[in-house]
Amino acid sequence: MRQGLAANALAAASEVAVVLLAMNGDDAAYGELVRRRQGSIRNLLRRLTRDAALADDLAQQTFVQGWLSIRGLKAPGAFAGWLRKLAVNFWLQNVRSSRPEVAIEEDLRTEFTASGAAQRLDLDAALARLPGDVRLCIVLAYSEGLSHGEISQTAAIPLGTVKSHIARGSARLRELLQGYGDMHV
Amino acid sequence: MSEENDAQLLALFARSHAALPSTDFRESFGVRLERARRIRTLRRIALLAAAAILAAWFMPSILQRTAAAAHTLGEFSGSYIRLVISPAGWAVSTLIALGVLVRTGSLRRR
Repeated sequence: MRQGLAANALAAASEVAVVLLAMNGDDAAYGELVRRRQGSIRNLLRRLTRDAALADDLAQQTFVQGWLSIRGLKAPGAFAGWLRKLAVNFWLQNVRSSRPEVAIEEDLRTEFTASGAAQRLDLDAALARLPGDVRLCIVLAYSEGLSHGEISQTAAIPLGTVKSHIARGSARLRELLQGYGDMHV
Repeated sequence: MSEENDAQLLALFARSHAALPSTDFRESFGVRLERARRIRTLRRIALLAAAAILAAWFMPSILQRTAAAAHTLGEFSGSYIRLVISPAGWAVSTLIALGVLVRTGSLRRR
């Protein structure tokens, strides 16, 4: 990668400054953004996919797409949200191109009843039981800390639907986690 | 943060947030980025080549049409100039100039 600033200077720079450098074609600056953001993007995608390898693959696609289109970013301060939206779009594309969500839900339900209530159900497993768009809203609200309005923009879902998804998803998640004794924080 | 989020769920999500090692991820991302860079370069070269071929293909006809248009314009402007410098043309243009001065109020006494 072409070196714009020294690596330690980049590491110390504010995100807006690094994004501006990356927008001007500084690949080292973009590498720094990847270093800073990879954890949150991979965690978000792991929550959504429940598959570490797939999540990392989607995260890499997200960062490559980010590198290709960063010049089109309107405001450097919006980088984190823009990148998150790219990641969500890649996940949605993957969901649409893979087998239907209902089938996955059915599989899990079978596993759930077969293994019985004694089996510990972790948070990711509980999330996997939610329908895709409900899971997306829940993850963006609880894991990413987004407001309902921001979720509506990121996921391109109407605000009213976001609110009902979160209310419904939270209730379902509480129910699932309490059933398995995983709710005690 | 949303006004309706459940505090217990929030704490649970925060607790289960994993710190992921980045070295392998960044290495394989570097490989993928290099591939994307090569593809982008090839695509740009292909686009430039296509543009050059199209330009070479259409250039003779574009030049021909431009020359014909310039010729027509030249003929038209020649007759227009002859009209303007005739006594009648001079009189009409003076009247138009007077009309403009009257409309803008430039002839009024201050």
